[in-house]
Amino acid sequence: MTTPAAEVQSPARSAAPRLTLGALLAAALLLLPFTVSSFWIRIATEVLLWAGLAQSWNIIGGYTGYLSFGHGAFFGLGAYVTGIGMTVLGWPFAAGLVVSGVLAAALAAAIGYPTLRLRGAYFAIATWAFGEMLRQVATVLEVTGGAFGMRLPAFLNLPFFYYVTLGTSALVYLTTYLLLERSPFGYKLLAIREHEEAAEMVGVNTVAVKVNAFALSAFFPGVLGGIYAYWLTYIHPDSVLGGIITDLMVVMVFLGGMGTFWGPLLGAFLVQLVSRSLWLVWGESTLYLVIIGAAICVVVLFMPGGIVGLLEGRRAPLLAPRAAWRWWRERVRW
Amino acid sequence: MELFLQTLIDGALIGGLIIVVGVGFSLCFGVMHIVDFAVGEWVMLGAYTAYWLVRYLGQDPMIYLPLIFALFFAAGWLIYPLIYRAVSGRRHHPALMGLVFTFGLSTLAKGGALSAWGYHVRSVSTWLSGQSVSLGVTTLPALRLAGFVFGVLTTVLFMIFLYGTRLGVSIRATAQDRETAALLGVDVRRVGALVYATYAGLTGMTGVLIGALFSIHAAMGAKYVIFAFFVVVLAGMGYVPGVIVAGLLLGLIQSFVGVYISGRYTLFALFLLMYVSLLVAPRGILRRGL
Amino acid sequence: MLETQNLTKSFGGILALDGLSLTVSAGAIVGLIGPNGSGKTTFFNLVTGVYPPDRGQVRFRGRVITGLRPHRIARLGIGRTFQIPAPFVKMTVLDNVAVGAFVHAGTMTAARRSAAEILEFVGLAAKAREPVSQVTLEDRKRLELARALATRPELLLLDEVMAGLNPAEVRAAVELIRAIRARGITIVVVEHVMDAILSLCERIVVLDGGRKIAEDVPERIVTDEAVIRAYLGERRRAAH
Repeated sequence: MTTPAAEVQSPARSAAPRLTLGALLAAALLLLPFTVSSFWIRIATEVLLWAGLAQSWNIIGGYTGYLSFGHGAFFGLGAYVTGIGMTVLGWPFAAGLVVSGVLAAALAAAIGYPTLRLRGAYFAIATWAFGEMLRQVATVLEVTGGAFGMRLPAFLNLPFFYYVTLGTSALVYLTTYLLLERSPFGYKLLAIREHEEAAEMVGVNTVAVKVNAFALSAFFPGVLGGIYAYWLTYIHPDSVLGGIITDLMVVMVFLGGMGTFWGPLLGAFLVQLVSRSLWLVWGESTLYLVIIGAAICVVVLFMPGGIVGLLEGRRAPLLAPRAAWRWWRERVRW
Repeated sequence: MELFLQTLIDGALIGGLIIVVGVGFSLCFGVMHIVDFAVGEWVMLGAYTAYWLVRYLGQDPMIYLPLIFALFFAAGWLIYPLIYRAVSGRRHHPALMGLVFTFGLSTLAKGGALSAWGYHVRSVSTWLSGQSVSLGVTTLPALRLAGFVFGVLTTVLFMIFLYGTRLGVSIRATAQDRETAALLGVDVRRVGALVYATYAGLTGMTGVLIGALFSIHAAMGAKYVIFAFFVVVLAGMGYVPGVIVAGLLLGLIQSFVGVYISGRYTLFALFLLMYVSLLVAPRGILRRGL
Repeated sequence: MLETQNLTKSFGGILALDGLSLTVSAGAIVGLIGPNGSGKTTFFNLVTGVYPPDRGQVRFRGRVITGLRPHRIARLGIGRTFQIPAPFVKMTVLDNVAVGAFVHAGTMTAARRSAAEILEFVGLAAKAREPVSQVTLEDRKRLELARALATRPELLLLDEVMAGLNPAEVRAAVELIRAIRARGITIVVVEHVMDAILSLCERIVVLDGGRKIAEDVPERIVTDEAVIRAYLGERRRAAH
């Protein structure tokens, strides 16, 4: 007979190897700029940036089950707020980042309150329309430089951007771990994803919890957008508000595993790896779209749990070409 | 006054084409709960198919319309099993899986087209290009009129099919209530395949006209995704007659905002309306959607 | 404990509940029966705030709770189970119950400890670590109960917790409900399993077409002419 106390404890795992592994990883990430060329620092910064963005999207899309197809809007907002703050208002970079994050979260809370009443595809379409709307606004406004974009003060210091991105993305993962994996808030989100009515019936304030999750998932993209703007020094509506920003977040999380802690990191790493390798081989190419599109289709069809789902997987997926072919033949009816 | 009239007619003409796309798109949502992000890619592929057919076989693109319908119908029929798999089974949020799957398809098609054909803008011309029809107060490019006639004709035929035939009735029944329709002996899966294939065929055909009216390039699909979503959201998702109203509205907004305010604001206006409409009337402006 | 006055609700012109007034006193165990569509589940939905009534009000411990959102009502002390079990599928049995415990527990550890005690009480302790997708229908019904209990309700609304269970499982469920009541929790039971409801309840309210057609002790309900006509007779005939 098990006592209640025994049930509460997490399964016994020895912490030492994990800690060592974590420390090694942290050391490698911290020392990276001293050991590799600027080319690789740039690649690493990109991976970290996307890992942070993907995890942010995972908070609302993966854990809560509300697929935001307009999340790039918060990234773009951050980029423009930091840009305008630094050039027009003369703020320091750090202030720009804080304001970017806060404004992105505030905007998310404001639109989340009405929008999160919509479910499923309706929410996805509404957020998509909102994101595109924001892009159109950036295209016509004076202060954003319209379709031509805007220039930020140039600051060419790759390690600086690497560390700022590393810090922010690490914060995203830390927040996710503490708030979503280890506290009631995260379990409330899961409960909403699994059965919203039942969650409400056992006392979960679903409206407040969802709005908080949406604001949290918008805060970090706001900050990362600010970093990205200062790093690139030149931004325009397509580069920071383009549909591709949202698309990549969605793809990375789906590929890695929806609602899993490590999924977004794996997904971001893989997608960046593939697109950069293609870029190295063929130069500027649109072929990565083909690969990403095919990857999404395969993930949805054969591994809905993503890579993490596969690693934890119980069933062998229909990945073998012959099995997949037979499966498809049986289902086309003439 | 003449500008107003011209704008009005222009808007209605564009709307006529969008309605064809919207009707199929709306039915897909009703029957299979699929929001097809690939809708614009069907338009793009339709336009390209016409372009290549004309390039290698000659003749006027209009005579290929039936062939293109058949080709796209077959393509839709062939990929339907995949879509069915995406939205069914033990998956947790079937509708969302369908959304992401078609999003993947769309990325795949767009990327493929960009990789194969690049960013070049192409065009096809038909014997109607450059001709115009005088309508008393105003003259119309013949091609636009043909597009409108095509739109109206296709929609009317499709409506007759939906409301007048046994198969059409079972399609509508499925759209209303999938479970009950299945209990009443409708082969829901077959109906789904038929709807998706028909929708792909119609959208591919519309692509030919859009390609002839405007221009053909690999990234042209994005615009029609916006249009289709707009029409279906305002019509009420899954409510087919609403599509006609919303399609005309779309055409009118597009041409009036373009003429009287500025072309730069048309997309903004569309997105704003779509967003607000979803918030205040998620079942469409006629409140008849699912 | 619970008092409703003139509770009325219609859906698209069809009256689901037609002026229902009902009083449930503290510590009681009341059965709510009636044919399908007689308004039992609608009654639960109105009490728990799933949607507001067209007319009438709900009082809970003397306080008007009409118009409050479901989570507020849950926190005030009304727990409820779903007719079709609605677990959080991708979570373990223990964590399902822990979500209910968040009403009073601020940390995961506290919520899980409280959840573990409740699982012990309903007899699911052995399955605490299993994902919900692995457990049987009977256990899912127990899980429904456990999750509702985790909010520490004073009033528990049970919506057909015995439907689909075999006779032995029904007996176990009756025992469990008695044990819950022995903890001082007031209970309203909607049920089709007549033997169970007759042996369990002290009072029975019979609904038909959204109206209350009888309210009495079980012995007199089974002989009531109107009840037999509306409900029991129909079911007895169907059973033979």
